[in-house]
Amino acid sequence: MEKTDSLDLQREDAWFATNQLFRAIQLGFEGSKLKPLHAKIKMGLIKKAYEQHANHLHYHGVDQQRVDAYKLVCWIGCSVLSEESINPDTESDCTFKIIARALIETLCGFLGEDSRGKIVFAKETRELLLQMLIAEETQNPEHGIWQNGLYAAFHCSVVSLRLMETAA
Amino acid sequence: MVDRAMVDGTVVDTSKDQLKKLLFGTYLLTKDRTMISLNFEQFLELWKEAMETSSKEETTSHPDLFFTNGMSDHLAEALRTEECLAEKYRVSWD
Repeated sequence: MEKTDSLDLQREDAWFATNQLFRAIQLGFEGSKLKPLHAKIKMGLIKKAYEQHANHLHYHGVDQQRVDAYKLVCWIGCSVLSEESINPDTESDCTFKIIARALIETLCGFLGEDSRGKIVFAKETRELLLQMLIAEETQNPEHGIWQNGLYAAFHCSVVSLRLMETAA
Repeated sequence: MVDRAMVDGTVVDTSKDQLKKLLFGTYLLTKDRTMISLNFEQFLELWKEAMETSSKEETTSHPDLFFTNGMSDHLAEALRTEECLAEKYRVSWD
Protein backbone atom coordinates (compact mmCIF):
# COMPACT_ATOMS: atom_id res chain seq x y z
CA MET A 1 0.00 0.00 0.00
CA GLU A 2 1.28 3.47 -0.91
CA LYS A 3 2.01 5.81 2.03
CA THR A 4 -0.60 8.34 0.84
CA ASP A 5 -3.24 5.61 0.61
CA SER A 6 -2.34 4.46 4.10
CA LEU A 7 -2.70 7.99 5.51
CA ASP A 8 -6.07 8.46 3.79
CA LEU A 9 -7.24 5.17 5.21
CA GLN A 10 -6.06 6.20 8.68
CA ARG A 11 -7.96 9.46 8.50
CA GLU A 12 -11.11 7.67 7.50
CA ASP A 13 -10.69 5.05 10.18
CA ALA A 14 -10.16 7.75 12.81
CA TRP A 15 -13.17 9.70 11.60
CA PHE A 16 -15.53 6.73 11.76
CA ALA A 17 -14.19 5.53 15.11
CA THR A 18 -14.66 9.02 16.59
CA ASN A 19 -18.18 9.07 15.19
CA GLN A 20 -19.03 5.84 16.94
CA LEU A 21 -18.00 7.27 20.31
CA PHE A 22 -19.96 10.50 19.89
CA ARG A 23 -23.05 8.63 18.78
CA ALA A 24 -22.83 6.49 21.91
CA ILE A 25 -22.47 9.63 24.06
CA GLN A 26 -25.49 11.13 22.38
CA LEU A 27 -27.53 7.99 23.03
CA GLY A 28 -26.37 8.01 26.64
CA PHE A 29 -27.75 11.48 27.19
CA GLU A 30 -30.97 10.70 25.36
CA GLY A 31 -31.58 7.73 27.62
CA SER A 32 -30.74 9.55 30.85
CA LYS A 33 -32.70 11.73 33.22
CA LEU A 34 -30.05 14.40 32.78
CA LYS A 35 -31.29 15.79 29.50
CA PRO A 36 -30.62 19.42 30.45
CA LEU A 37 -26.97 18.59 31.21
CA HIS A 38 -24.60 17.84 28.43
CA ALA A 39 -20.92 17.34 27.91
CA LYS A 40 -18.86 20.40 27.32
CA ILE A 41 -16.88 18.99 24.46
CA LYS A 42 -14.67 21.52 22.80
CA MET A 43 -12.74 21.31 19.58
CA GLY A 44 -9.52 21.90 21.53
CA LEU A 45 -10.15 18.74 23.50
CA ILE A 46 -10.47 16.66 20.38
CA LYS A 47 -7.32 18.19 19.00
CA LYS A 48 -5.47 17.48 22.25
CA ALA A 49 -6.65 13.87 22.17
CA TYR A 50 -5.47 13.36 18.60
CA GLU A 51 -2.08 14.87 19.47
CA GLN A 52 -1.72 12.66 22.55
CA HIS A 53 -2.69 9.64 20.50
CA ALA A 54 -0.13 10.49 17.83
CA ASN A 55 2.55 11.14 20.49
CA HIS A 56 1.76 7.84 22.15
CA LEU A 57 2.28 5.95 18.88
CA HIS A 58 5.46 7.90 18.25
CA TYR A 59 6.82 7.22 21.76
CA HIS A 60 6.28 3.49 21.45
CA GLY A 61 7.69 3.40 17.95
CA VAL A 62 4.52 2.13 16.33
CA ASP A 63 4.49 2.55 12.59
CA GLN A 64 0.74 2.70 12.32
CA GLN A 65 -0.71 1.34 9.11
CA ARG A 66 -4.29 1.47 10.26
CA VAL A 67 -5.81 3.30 13.17
CA ASP A 68 -6.37 1.27 16.30
CA ALA A 69 -9.98 2.23 16.97
CA TYR A 70 -9.82 0.95 20.55
CA LYS A 71 -6.85 3.14 21.38
CA LEU A 72 -8.19 6.22 19.68
CA VAL A 73 -11.55 6.20 21.47
CA CYS A 74 -9.81 5.60 24.81
CA TRP A 75 -7.76 8.76 24.29
CA ILE A 76 -10.67 10.86 23.09
CA GLY A 77 -13.08 9.54 25.69
CA CYS A 78 -10.70 10.15 28.57
CA SER A 79 -9.86 13.62 27.28
CA VAL A 80 -13.56 14.44 27.38
CA LEU A 81 -13.91 12.84 30.83
CA SER A 82 -10.99 14.85 32.20
CA GLU A 83 -13.09 18.00 31.81
CA GLU A 84 -16.01 16.61 33.77
CA SER A 85 -16.44 16.49 37.52
CA ILE A 86 -18.12 13.55 39.14
CA ASN A 87 -21.09 13.39 41.46
CA PRO A 88 -19.79 11.39 44.46
CA ASP A 89 -23.29 10.18 45.30
CA THR A 90 -23.28 6.59 44.06
CA GLU A 91 -27.04 6.64 43.59
CA SER A 92 -27.05 9.71 41.36
CA ASP A 93 -26.19 9.96 37.72
CA CYS A 94 -23.92 12.67 36.37
CA THR A 95 -22.34 13.78 33.13
CA PHE A 96 -19.08 11.98 33.93
CA LYS A 97 -20.83 8.65 34.47
CA ILE A 98 -22.90 8.98 31.28
CA ILE A 99 -19.82 9.68 29.17
CA ALA A 100 -17.80 6.95 30.90
CA ARG A 101 -20.57 4.42 30.25
CA ALA A 102 -20.74 5.52 26.61
CA LEU A 103 -16.97 5.06 26.29
CA ILE A 104 -17.13 1.57 27.80
CA GLU A 105 -20.13 0.67 25.64
CA THR A 106 -18.28 1.85 22.53
CA LEU A 107 -15.27 -0.31 23.35
CA CYS A 108 -17.53 -3.27 24.15
CA GLY A 109 -19.31 -2.64 20.85
CA PHE A 110 -16.00 -2.77 18.98
CA LEU A 111 -15.04 -6.00 20.71
CA GLY A 112 -18.48 -7.49 20.16
CA GLU A 113 -18.24 -6.74 16.45
CA ASP A 114 -14.60 -7.82 16.20
CA SER A 115 -15.52 -11.20 17.67
CA ARG A 116 -18.73 -11.40 15.61
CA GLY A 117 -20.81 -11.46 18.76
CA LYS A 118 -18.75 -14.06 20.61
CA ILE A 119 -17.28 -11.67 23.19
CA VAL A 120 -19.82 -9.35 24.71
CA PHE A 121 -18.78 -8.21 28.18
CA ALA A 122 -21.42 -8.72 30.86
CA LYS A 123 -22.77 -5.97 33.06
CA GLU A 124 -20.40 -6.88 35.92
CA THR A 125 -17.30 -6.43 33.74
CA ARG A 126 -18.53 -3.12 32.39
CA GLU A 127 -19.36 -1.98 35.92
CA LEU A 128 -15.83 -2.87 37.09
CA LEU A 129 -14.31 -0.72 34.34
CA LEU A 130 -16.68 2.12 35.21
CA GLN A 131 -15.77 1.94 38.91
CA MET A 132 -12.07 2.07 38.01
CA LEU A 133 -12.58 5.17 35.88
CA ILE A 134 -14.53 6.74 38.73
CA ALA A 135 -11.77 5.84 41.23
CA GLU A 136 -9.17 7.55 39.06
CA GLU A 137 -11.31 10.67 38.81
CA THR A 138 -12.00 10.77 42.55
CA GLN A 139 -8.31 10.86 43.49
CA ASN A 140 -7.98 7.16 44.22
CA PRO A 141 -5.56 6.28 41.42
CA GLU A 142 -4.26 3.21 43.23
CA HIS A 143 -7.68 1.72 42.50
CA GLY A 144 -8.25 3.31 39.15
CA ILE A 145 -7.46 3.17 35.48
CA TRP A 146 -7.42 5.78 32.77
CA GLN A 147 -6.86 5.76 29.02
CA ASN A 148 -3.92 3.34 28.93
CA GLY A 149 -5.40 0.92 31.46
CA LEU A 150 -8.70 0.91 29.67
CA TYR A 151 -6.99 0.41 26.33
CA ALA A 152 -4.85 -2.43 27.72
CA ALA A 153 -7.98 -4.26 28.92
CA PHE A 154 -9.46 -4.27 25.44
CA HIS A 155 -6.15 -4.75 23.66
CA CYS A 156 -5.49 -7.97 25.60
CA SER A 157 -9.01 -9.14 24.82
CA VAL A 158 -8.45 -8.59 21.10
CA VAL A 159 -5.08 -10.35 21.21
CA SER A 160 -6.70 -13.30 23.01
CA LEU A 161 -9.40 -13.38 20.39
CA ARG A 162 -6.82 -13.49 17.60
CA LEU A 163 -4.92 -16.29 19.37
CA MET A 164 -8.11 -18.33 19.69
CA GLU A 165 -8.95 -17.73 16.04
CA THR A 166 -5.47 -18.82 14.98
CA ALA A 167 -5.61 -21.94 17.14
CA ALA A 168 -9.07 -22.97 15.91
CA MET B 1 -34.40 12.92 20.44
CA VAL B 2 -32.39 16.07 19.94
CA ASP B 3 -34.41 18.79 18.26
CA ARG B 4 -31.94 20.48 16.03
CA ALA B 5 -28.31 20.40 15.10
CA MET B 6 -25.68 22.85 14.07
CA VAL B 7 -24.18 21.64 10.82
CA ASP B 8 -21.37 23.68 9.38
CA GLY B 9 -22.70 26.70 11.21
CA THR B 10 -26.32 26.16 10.17
CA VAL B 11 -29.08 25.01 12.50
CA VAL B 12 -30.99 22.17 10.90
CA ASP B 13 -33.92 20.00 11.81
CA THR B 14 -32.93 16.64 13.26
CA SER B 15 -35.92 14.49 12.53
CA LYS B 16 -35.02 10.84 12.10
CA ASP B 17 -34.53 11.20 8.35
CA GLN B 18 -32.40 14.26 8.81
CA LEU B 19 -30.31 12.52 11.43
CA LYS B 20 -29.70 9.70 9.00
CA LYS B 21 -28.34 12.22 6.55
CA LEU B 22 -26.05 13.56 9.27
CA LEU B 23 -24.84 10.15 10.22
CA PHE B 24 -21.45 10.60 8.72
CA GLY B 25 -20.91 13.90 10.49
CA THR B 26 -19.57 13.81 14.02
CA TYR B 27 -21.84 15.76 16.27
CA LEU B 28 -21.24 16.95 19.76
CA LEU B 29 -23.86 17.86 22.29
CA THR B 30 -23.99 21.26 23.90
CA LYS B 31 -25.80 22.65 26.91
CA ASP B 32 -28.91 23.82 25.08
CA ARG B 33 -29.46 20.47 23.37
CA THR B 34 -28.13 21.64 20.06
CA MET B 35 -25.17 19.87 18.57
CA ILE B 36 -21.90 21.16 17.27
CA SER B 37 -20.77 19.34 14.20
CA LEU B 38 -17.19 18.44 13.60
CA ASN B 39 -17.19 18.35 9.86
CA PHE B 40 -14.88 16.19 7.84
CA GLU B 41 -12.68 19.09 6.71
CA GLN B 42 -12.17 20.30 10.28
CA PHE B 43 -11.43 16.77 11.29
CA LEU B 44 -8.80 16.31 8.59
CA GLU B 45 -7.13 19.52 9.67
CA LEU B 46 -6.97 18.41 13.32
CA TRP B 47 -5.67 14.99 12.35
CA LYS B 48 -2.99 16.44 10.10
CA GLU B 49 -1.84 18.91 12.79
CA ALA B 50 -1.69 16.15 15.38
CA MET B 51 0.43 13.94 13.18
CA GLU B 52 2.81 16.76 12.25
CA THR B 53 3.21 17.89 15.87
CA SER B 54 4.00 14.41 17.13
CA SER B 55 6.57 13.68 14.46
CA LYS B 56 8.67 16.65 15.63
CA GLU B 57 8.91 15.52 19.25
CA GLU B 58 11.88 13.71 20.71
CA THR B 59 11.01 10.24 21.81
CA THR B 60 12.30 7.00 23.18
CA SER B 61 11.43 4.59 20.45
CA HIS B 62 10.89 0.89 20.99
CA PRO B 63 10.66 -0.49 17.48
CA ASP B 64 10.84 -4.05 18.77
CA LEU B 65 7.81 -3.56 21.00
CA PHE B 66 4.88 -5.25 19.40
CA PHE B 67 1.33 -4.36 20.00
CA THR B 68 -1.59 -4.38 17.65
CA ASN B 69 -1.07 -2.09 14.80
CA GLY B 70 -4.50 -1.06 13.76
CA MET B 71 -7.67 -3.04 13.71
CA SER B 72 -9.25 -5.85 11.78
CA ASP B 73 -10.75 -5.25 8.36
CA HIS B 74 -14.03 -6.52 9.71
CA LEU B 75 -14.16 -3.87 12.46
CA ALA B 76 -13.03 -1.15 10.07
CA GLU B 77 -15.92 -2.06 7.76
CA ALA B 78 -18.38 -2.10 10.64
CA LEU B 79 -17.32 1.38 11.77
CA ARG B 80 -18.38 2.69 8.37
CA THR B 81 -21.94 1.38 8.58
CA GLU B 82 -24.87 3.33 9.96
CA GLU B 83 -25.00 1.04 12.94
CA CYS B 84 -23.98 2.26 16.38
CA LEU B 85 -21.90 -0.62 17.71
CA ALA B 86 -22.31 0.51 21.33
CA GLU B 87 -26.04 0.13 20.92
CA LYS B 88 -25.80 -3.14 19.00
CA TYR B 89 -23.92 -4.82 21.85
CA ARG B 90 -25.46 -2.87 24.72
CA VAL B 91 -26.11 -4.62 27.99
CA SER B 92 -28.36 -3.07 30.62
CA TRP B 93 -26.51 -1.34 33.48
CA ASP B 94 -29.43 -1.93 35.89
